[in-house]
Amino acid sequence: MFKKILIANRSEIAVRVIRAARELGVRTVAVYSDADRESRHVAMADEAVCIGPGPSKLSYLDQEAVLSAARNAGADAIHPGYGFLSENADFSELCAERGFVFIGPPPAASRKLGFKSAGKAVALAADVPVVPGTKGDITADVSKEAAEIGYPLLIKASAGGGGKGMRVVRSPAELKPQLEAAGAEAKAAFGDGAVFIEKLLERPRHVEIQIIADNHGNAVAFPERDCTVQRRHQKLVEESPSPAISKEIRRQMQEAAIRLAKAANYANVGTVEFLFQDGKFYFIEVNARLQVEHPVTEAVAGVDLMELMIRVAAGEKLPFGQERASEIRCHAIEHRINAEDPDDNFMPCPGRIESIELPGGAGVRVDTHVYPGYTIPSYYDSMIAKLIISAGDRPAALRRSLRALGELKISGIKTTAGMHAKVVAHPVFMSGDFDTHFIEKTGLLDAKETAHV
Amino acid sequence: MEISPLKAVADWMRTADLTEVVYRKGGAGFSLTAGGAGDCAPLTVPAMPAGRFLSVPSDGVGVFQWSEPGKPRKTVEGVDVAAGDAVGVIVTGAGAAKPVVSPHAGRVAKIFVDAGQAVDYGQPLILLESR
Repeated sequence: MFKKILIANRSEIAVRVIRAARELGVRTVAVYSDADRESRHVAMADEAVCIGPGPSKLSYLDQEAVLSAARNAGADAIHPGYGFLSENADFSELCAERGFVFIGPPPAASRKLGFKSAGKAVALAADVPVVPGTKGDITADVSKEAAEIGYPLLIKASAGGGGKGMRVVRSPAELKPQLEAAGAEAKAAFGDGAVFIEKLLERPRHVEIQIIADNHGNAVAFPERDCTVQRRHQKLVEESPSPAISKEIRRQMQEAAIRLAKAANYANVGTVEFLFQDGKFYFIEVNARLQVEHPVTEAVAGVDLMELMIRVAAGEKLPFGQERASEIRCHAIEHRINAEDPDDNFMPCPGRIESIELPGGAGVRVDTHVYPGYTIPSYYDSMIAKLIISAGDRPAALRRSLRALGELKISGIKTTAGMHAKVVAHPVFMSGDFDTHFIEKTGLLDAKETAHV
Repeated sequence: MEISPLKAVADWMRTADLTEVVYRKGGAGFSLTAGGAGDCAPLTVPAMPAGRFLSVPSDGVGVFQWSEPGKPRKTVEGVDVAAGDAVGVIVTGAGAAKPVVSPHAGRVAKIFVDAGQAVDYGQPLILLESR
C-alpha cells in the first residue's frame, strides 16, 4: 500500500479521497489554489501545498506545479479525482516517469478509450454495439456519409464532454454551418477542434456501467446507473438500478463493458456509457476516471469504489468476482446540489454560505466540502454537495429523497435543491418512463411555470 | 454551526477595530471580515508599517535556490534590489529553474528561506525595506 497520496483536485472529491486514504492508513497531501485556502479539503488533509493562483490553468491544471508539490511532500501516489488532470494520459505518463503511481487507468488504455471516436473503434472490434456514425474525426466533406446515417444527426467534439461542441443537425443544409460552429466551440473549450457525427436518437435514456479492473487480468461490472435526467447534456439526477433496464439487458451491458475493458487492457475504474432506446443499447463513450455519481453504485452494490481504486492501483487483486459485483442491495439516487440561481437560468452564483444544515438519518449520505461561512470561489465548478439517497425500492427512495431535500437548508446563496425536489415529485419521473429530454418536455425548469407551482 | 454567536464576534471586531477574524477547528470554521456587505469601503489590512516592508513571494512550487547552478548568490541581507531583479530561483519537478523576480525595489531586510528548501506558491521568501 502507498505511504502518502497527493490529491490533485479540490472540493468534495478531494474530501472523498482523504476519507478513503485515512481509512486505509495512508497519509494525504492536499494541493490548493490561492482561491481555495478555506476549502475543507485543505484543513482535512495531513499536509497541504499551495500550488498557484485561482485560475485552474495556473494551479490544478499546472502539471509541473502538481508534480513539484508531490516531490516536495514525498508522496508516492497521485489521485487525480475527476475533471482537471484526471483523464489526461500525458499527465499519468508523466507521473510514472517521475516515480509516482497514478491512481487511475494506465495511459495506453485511457488513450484507447478516453477519446470518443477512438473508443468507438475499440467497441466495434469488441462486438459492442455503437450508435451509427462517421468512422472517425471529420476531415473532408461528409454530406454523403451523413445522408447514409440518416438525419437527424448529432455533432460531437472528439476531446469533449459536458455538452460542449455538441450540435444537432436536422437537414443537409444545416450540416456545413453546424460543423463549423461545433469545431470552433470544441477548439475553444478543449484546444482541439476535432468533431465527429452520430445518428441522433430522439428518445434515449442515458445508462452507464461502472467497471473496475485490477492489474492481474480481473475485471467486474456493477449494475447500471441511469443518468437520464439531464439539463443541457449535464447530468442532474442519477439513480440505480434503472427503472427501464431488465435483468437480461443489464447482463448484456455488463458483459459488453467487460469485453471493452479487456480489449483495451483497461485497469482501475472506468464508466462505459450507453444510450438506451427501444430495448437496444449503444455504446457512446468511456469515462476513464471515477465519476461524480460513483456513490450511487457504492450504495447499490455495497462497495467502496474509492478504496478499491486505491487498492488496485497499489497492485492488489480485486477482492470479489462478477457474482458479488452484480448484487443489487437497494435503490439509490444522487442529487447534485449546485450553487446556481434557478430564477436566472441556472447561472452559477458563487458567494458566501451564511448557514447550512445538512440532511441526515437512515439512507442519507452527503459528500461536500462546504461549511457555514465558506465562500464559494468563482473559478470552479458550481457543485457544492452531493446527496446520495438509498432505500429498499424506488418508491421508498423517492420519498426519502424528498424528505432529505426538505431537510437541506442553505442561506446566503441560491442552489438547485428545490429543482431536485420538483424532479423527484414529478409524476413522469415517478413513473420511471422518461428520456433524456425529460426536463424540456415537462417544462419543469421553465421559470414562468415554476413561479406558480 | 449556529450563526447567532458570530454576531457577538462581529460586534467585538468593530469595537476592537479588527478587520478580519479567522477561526478553524477540524473541518469547520469561519472567517469574518469587517466592512463587508457593501455598507462601507473595504478596509486594507495594515499588516506592516505602511509601504515600508514589502514581501517577495514564491510564484511557484518547487525547491528554492539562490541562483542557477554555477552562478553566485547575490541576495544577502543589506543589499539593494531593483524591481525586476531575480532574487533566487525555484527548481520545479522537471528540474527547470524559474527565476523569482522581485516586484518591488528595496533593501533586503530579512530572509525567510534557505537554499534547497521546498517552497509553496505564495510563500514569502524575503522581506524588502523600501527607501
